[in-house]
Amino acid sequence: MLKIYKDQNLVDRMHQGEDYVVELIYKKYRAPFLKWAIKNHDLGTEEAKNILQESIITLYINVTDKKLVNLKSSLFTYLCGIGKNKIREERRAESKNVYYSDNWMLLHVEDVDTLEELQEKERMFMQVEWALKEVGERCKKMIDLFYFNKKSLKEISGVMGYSNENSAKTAKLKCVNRIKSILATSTKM
Amino acid sequence: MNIEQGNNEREIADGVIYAKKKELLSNLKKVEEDLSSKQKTKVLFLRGAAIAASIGLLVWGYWYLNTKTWEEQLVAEHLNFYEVVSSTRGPGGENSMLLVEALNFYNDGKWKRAQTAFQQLYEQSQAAEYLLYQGVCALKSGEPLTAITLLEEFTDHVEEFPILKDGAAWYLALSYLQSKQVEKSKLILNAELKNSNEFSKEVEALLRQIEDRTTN
Repeated sequence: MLKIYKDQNLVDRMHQGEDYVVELIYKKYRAPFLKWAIKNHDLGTEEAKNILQESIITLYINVTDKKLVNLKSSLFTYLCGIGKNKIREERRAESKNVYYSDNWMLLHVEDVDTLEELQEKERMFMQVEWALKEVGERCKKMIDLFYFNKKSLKEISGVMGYSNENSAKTAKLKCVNRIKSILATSTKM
Repeated sequence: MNIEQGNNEREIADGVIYAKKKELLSNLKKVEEDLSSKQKTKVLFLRGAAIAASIGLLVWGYWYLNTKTWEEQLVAEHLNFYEVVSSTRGPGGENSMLLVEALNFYNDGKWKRAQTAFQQLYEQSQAAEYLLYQGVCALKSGEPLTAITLLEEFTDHVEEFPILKDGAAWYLALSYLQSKQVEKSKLILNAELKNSNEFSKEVEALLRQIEDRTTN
C-alpha cells in the first residue's frame, strides 16, 4: 500500500509537469526492469535499456494525456506493461524488415502511410525543434506546458506567474507566432 | 483560423511533443551513461582492490611460509647431522620389497610415503625400529607432535636397540624443539651430554644455540 502511494506520488508529480521525475523513475526501476526484460524477453542489455527509456517516456505521455491518473497496480507493473508492448512493436517491425528512422519511436508513425511521408514529418518536426531553441527559455516552457503537458492557460498562468488567464493566452499566442515566423523563414531558405 | 493555420498549429503541437520526447530521451541517455560509468568505475575499483588484496595475500603467504621461528631454524640446521635410517638394517619378518620401497622413498625425501611404508613394515614385523623410522619421517615432514608420539613409543623398546638409543634421543629432542617445547628438548639434550654420546659436540652446539636464543 505504501509502495503504491509512493508510486502515485511520482505520477502526480509528472502530472504537475516535473520532468525530473522521469529521471527518478529511470534510476528507481532501471535494475529490476533490465532484469525482467533480459530474463523474460531474451533482450540484450543495450536493447533492454532502450526499451526502458522509451517506456518511461510513453508513461509520461500517458500521464500528460490523462490516460493514467490513478495507479491501480505498482508503477513497475505498469511500466512492464508498456515495455511488453514496445518489445512486441519492435519485433513486429523487425520481422517485416521495416525501416523507419532512428527517431521512429518519437514520431506518430500511425499517421503516415509511406516512408516519404515519414521523412517529411521528421524534417518538419526537426524544424520545430530548432525553432523552439530560438524562441528563448520562457517561451519554450510556455509552449511545452501547453502542448506537451496539456496544461490549461489558467494553470499556466499560475505556474508561470501571469496575472490572469488572458495574459497567459496573449503570451502563448506571441510564442506560437514567433515559432511560425521562424518556420516560415526556414521554409523559404 | 483557416485550414492552413489549423494544420500549422497541429504541426507545431506535434513538433513540440517530438522535441520534448527527444529532449527527455537524451536526458535519460545521459543518466544511463552516468550510471554505467559509475558502475564501470566501481567494477574497476573492486577489480583493483581484488588484485591488490591477492598480491598482498601472496606476499603475506610467501613471507609466512618462508619465515621460520628460531626453533624451526635450529631444527632445520641440525636435522641432517645424524642419519638414523639405514638401508643396511632390516629387523626381519618384513616384506623385503616393501623395505626397499620405503628406503627409496626415504632417500628421495618423500617423507610421507616413506612413513606410510615404514608403518606397514611395523604392522607386518612389529619391529620397534620402524617406529623410530616413522618418527624421523614425521619430523622431517613437519609433524613434530606425531614424531614425539612415535619416538616416545620407540623409547619404550630402546633397550632392544642400544645402537639406536642416542639417535632416537637426538630426534626426540629436535621434535620437542620444533614443537616449541624447549625445556623438554633441553632436558633430553643435557642428559645426552652427560652420557657423552657419539655426537656430543653437536649436542653441545645445539644447546648453546638454544641458550643464546632463550637468554637474549
